Amino acid sequence: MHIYEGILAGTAHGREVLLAGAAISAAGTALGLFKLDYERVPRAAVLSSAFFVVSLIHVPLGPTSEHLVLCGLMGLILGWAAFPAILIALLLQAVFFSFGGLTTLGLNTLIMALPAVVCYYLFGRAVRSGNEAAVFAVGFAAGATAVLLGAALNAGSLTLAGKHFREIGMVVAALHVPLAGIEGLVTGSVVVLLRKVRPELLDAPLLVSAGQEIGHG
Amino acid sequence: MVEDLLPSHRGIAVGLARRWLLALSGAMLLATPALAHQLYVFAHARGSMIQGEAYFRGKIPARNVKVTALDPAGRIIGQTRTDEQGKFTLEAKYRCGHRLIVDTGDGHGAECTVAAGQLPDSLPTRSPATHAHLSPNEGRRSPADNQQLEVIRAEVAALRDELKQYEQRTRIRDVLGGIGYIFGLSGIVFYFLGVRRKRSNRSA
Repeated sequence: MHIYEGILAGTAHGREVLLAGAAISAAGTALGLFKLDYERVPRAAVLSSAFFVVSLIHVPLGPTSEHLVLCGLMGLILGWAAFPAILIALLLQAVFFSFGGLTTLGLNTLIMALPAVVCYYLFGRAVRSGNEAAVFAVGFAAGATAVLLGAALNAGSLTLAGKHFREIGMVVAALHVPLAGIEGLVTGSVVVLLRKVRPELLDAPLLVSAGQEIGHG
Repeated sequence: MVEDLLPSHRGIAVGLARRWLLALSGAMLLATPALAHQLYVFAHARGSMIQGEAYFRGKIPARNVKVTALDPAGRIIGQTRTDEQGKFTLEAKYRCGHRLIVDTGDGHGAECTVAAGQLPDSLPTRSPATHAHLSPNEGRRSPADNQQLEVIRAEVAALRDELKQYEQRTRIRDVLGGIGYIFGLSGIVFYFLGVRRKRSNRSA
């Protein structure tokens, strides 16, 4: 999902795209920090750590490999606070693992945090459903949407930066389709689990599966 | 009361654990422990042949990717592709610094340089700038000296490769350090939220 460091900084258009990405990310981060309250700080920290570490688990895909990003999950739980959480995680990834880089930090934050926020608005309400299958489906949709949207943003910024980057963008976008499925499965499972053990993280009521409900009666 | 509660709770717990284990084992099957984001390329000269290797973090070979050689002025002087093991060979036509650029086509790239000094004297030089780097004694060595030099070069190349790999390994302390940073930062955020709350309490 990262845009490779140095690929855009070489051209004038590329630098414009980098700057624009950084500016939008800065605004998003400011808004996220403004909306961050007491309860969301630990959530943001835990998810930021998860995002940071999960990048080390790679899923082999064709000639290259991609890792889980958890953007959909971050969006559902954090809303706008996904911006600062992803920014910090990406910064640390750049420093510790040399993924991405400092010049692409702003743009990469935008590519991953904006889909998270979109998922928050698209699926934040539906994830509070009382039906387990529906919750899983919504989680799946959120995870997959975040990845596809991120890939589209990635390809879009490369295309904006210049025609010769378009091919790279297309390859990256195609590689993200299978990843979206995997990410959807993981996000769906996590969301169902959260609804059963920590529903307050999603501001939702406790989810009880049908079989267990009969047992209670 | 306790007996009453336990079975249903256990049911939930077992159900969750089963589901979670399934998801986890699925994830483990799919995932390799390796880190394949960062691409590395490493090369050295053996006679007039440049031998190299391109791989992702964790020694995953970069298969069938394009390798381009540029001279110090940035002109293309050779092109090849890596094989199934991520290895490539390229015949040097000139005695000059070879900048090798590897491009996987999806935005990952890396480069390394083979110095002119590693290539044999028999090759024509490419530009006067590189000529200055060559030592004047180069041509006057005895065959025995050259043989020894070759051995040393190979050893240094292997050592360099090892050093590079050592540098690339993500160490557990990097991971823990990163997580530590995140929690430290959340502490700072808590501090400022606390200040904000104190102020609003005072003004109320």
